[in-house]
Amino acid sequence: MTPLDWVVLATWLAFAVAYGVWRGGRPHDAEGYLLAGKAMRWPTVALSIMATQASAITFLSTPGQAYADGMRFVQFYLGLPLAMIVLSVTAVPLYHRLKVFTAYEFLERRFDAKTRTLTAALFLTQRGLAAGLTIYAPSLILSVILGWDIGITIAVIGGLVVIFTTSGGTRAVSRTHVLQASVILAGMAAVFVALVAQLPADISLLDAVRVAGKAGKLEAINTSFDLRDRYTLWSGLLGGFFLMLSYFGTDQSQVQRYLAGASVRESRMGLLLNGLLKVPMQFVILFVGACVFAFYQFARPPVFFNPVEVAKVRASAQSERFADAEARYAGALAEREARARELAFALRSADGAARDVATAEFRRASAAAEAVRRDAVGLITATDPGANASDTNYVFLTFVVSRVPAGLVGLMLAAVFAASMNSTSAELNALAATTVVDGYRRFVRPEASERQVVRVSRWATVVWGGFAIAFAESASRLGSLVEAVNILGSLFYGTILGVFLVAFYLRRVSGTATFAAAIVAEAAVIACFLLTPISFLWYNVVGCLVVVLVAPLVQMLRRSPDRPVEG
Amino acid sequence: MTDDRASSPSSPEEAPPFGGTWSRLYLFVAVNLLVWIAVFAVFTRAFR
Repeated sequence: MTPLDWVVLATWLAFAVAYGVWRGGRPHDAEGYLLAGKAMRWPTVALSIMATQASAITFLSTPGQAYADGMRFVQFYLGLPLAMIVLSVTAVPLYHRLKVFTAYEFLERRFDAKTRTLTAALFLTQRGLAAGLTIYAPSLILSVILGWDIGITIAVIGGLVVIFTTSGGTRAVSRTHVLQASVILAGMAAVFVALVAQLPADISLLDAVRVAGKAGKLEAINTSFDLRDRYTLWSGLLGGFFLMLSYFGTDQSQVQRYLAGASVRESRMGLLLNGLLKVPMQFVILFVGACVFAFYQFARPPVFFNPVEVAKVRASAQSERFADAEARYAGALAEREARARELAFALRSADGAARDVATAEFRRASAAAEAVRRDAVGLITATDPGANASDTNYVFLTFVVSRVPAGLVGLMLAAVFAASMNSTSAELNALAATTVVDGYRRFVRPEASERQVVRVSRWATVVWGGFAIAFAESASRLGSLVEAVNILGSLFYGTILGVFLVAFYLRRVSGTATFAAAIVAEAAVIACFLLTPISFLWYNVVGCLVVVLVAPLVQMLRRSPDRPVEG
Repeated sequence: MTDDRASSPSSPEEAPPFGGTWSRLYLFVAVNLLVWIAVFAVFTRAFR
C-alpha cells in the first residue's frame, strides 16, 4: 500500500458515509425509515437488489474460484432470471396490495401469528449470524494479505455501516448502493485493464485466454446429470431457481429492497433488471478470474496464496523441505511457462497436429507443477492441521496488491469495502425492520407512534450492528461453527420457500397443516444432508416440494375450515 | 441525481416502461437467459 492508495481508500470511505447520511435524510415515520417512503425508481431498486446480494466475498472469492475451478460456477445463477419472473408475477403485487413492511407480516394475514413469528425468528437467527460473517470474511482476507489487524478491519467496516444505516434507514442504504456499485465496477475494470497491460509483449489477451481454455478453466456449461456434481446446467436451473425464489421472495434483506419501490411497476422492473444483468455480471467476474489464471501461466505465482500459512511453515521444522518444494515449484513453473508459450503460438496456427502436441505438453507440465504444489500444501497442513488447504480466497487480492499500479490498489480496496458495506447495510436494515415490525409493534407496543417506531428501529440497527461486529470479532475462534452457520442457511431456505408457496397458491391449506408439512420437510432435508451425497442446491428443491405436497395432504386429513388470503 | 420520488400512485396493471406489456417483458427475460446459456455453451466449446 502506497500513500496514494491510502488517500484513495480513506477519501472514498469518508465520502461514502457522508453521502449515505446526506442522501438518507432524517425520515420521521415507519414507512419513510423502513421502506424509503416507498419512493424508489426501478434503476435504484435494481442496483440495490444486486448490491445486497453481491457481498465483498463475491469480488474476492469468485475470481479465485475461476482460477482454481474454472467458470462453471456461473451455472449457480441460471435459475435467478426465472425466479425474478415468478416473483414479479406473484409476490410483488401481493406484497404491495397488502401494504406489508416485511414478508413475514404477510404470513400472519394468510395463516396465523405463530407462522409469522416462526419465520421471522428463523430469519433473525440466520441473517443476524450471516451479517457477522459478511463483515468477517473480507476482513480476514484483507488482514492476511495486507497484514492489517483483523479487529480494526472489522470495526471500520461494521462501524461505518452502522453510522449511515442508522441515520437514514432504507433510503440511505439504497442510495449508497448506487454509489458503491459504481466504484466496484470501476475497480474490477481497472484490474482487468492492468492485467491485460502486464501480459508479455508476444502474448495477446486472446492467446492467454486460449491457454486458459486448454487448462479447462473456461468450461462455463456442464450438461451432466450427476446429482453429486455441485454446478451443472440442471442444478443451476432447477436448484438455483428454488434457492433464488426463496432468497428473493422470503428473505427480508431482499424483500425490503423491492418493497421500497414506488409502485408494483418499479419493484417489478427492479427485479427483472436484476434478472437480465446478474448472469452476465457473474460471468464477467469469473472471466476476470480466468484471466488471472491465464496471466499466471506466463508469470510466477506463489506456491500458496495465503502468506500467513506460508510464514508459519517457513518458521517451522518443515522449513527446509518447504524451501526445497518452492525451488522445485519454480523449476516446474519455468517448464510450464515455456510449454504455455509454445501452446499459445501453436493455437495461432491452423496445424491441428501441432496444436494437439502442444496441448498435451502443456497439460503434462501443468500436472507436474500442480503435483509439486500439492507437496508444498501438504507441508503447510502438516505444520498447521487447522490450516485451510484452499487458497482461492487470496488469489485475486494477491494479484491486485502485487501487480496493480499504485492508486488502483486503493481503488480496488475501496471496492471491497464498498461491497462489504452494501450487503451488511441491507442486512442490518432488514434485521431492524423485522425486529420492530414483527416483534416490537406486533407484541410489545402495537399502539406505538410513528416516531417511536423510527426511534426503536434506529436502536435495533445499532444493536444488530453491535451483534454482527461482536460475532465477526469472535468468528476466528469459532472455526467449525462458522461453517455450521452457512450450512444452517441452506438447510432452511427450501422449507421457508415451501411455506410461502403454500401461502400464495394453496389457499385452502391452513397454518397448522403447513406447520406439519414444514416439519416433515425439514426432516427430509436433514436426512438428505446426513445420509446422501447430493449437492446442497438440491436441498432447496427437496424442502420446498415436500412442504407443497404434504401440506394439502395434512389439510385433507384434518378437514379444517378454509381461511383464504386477505386483501 | 434524479429524484426517485414517484409522481403518482400506480396500480398493478401499470404498463412497463418499455416492451408494451409485462408478458412480453417476462418473455424477453426468459429468452435473454436462453441466449446467455447458448453463448456460454458456444464459449465452452470454442475454448475447450
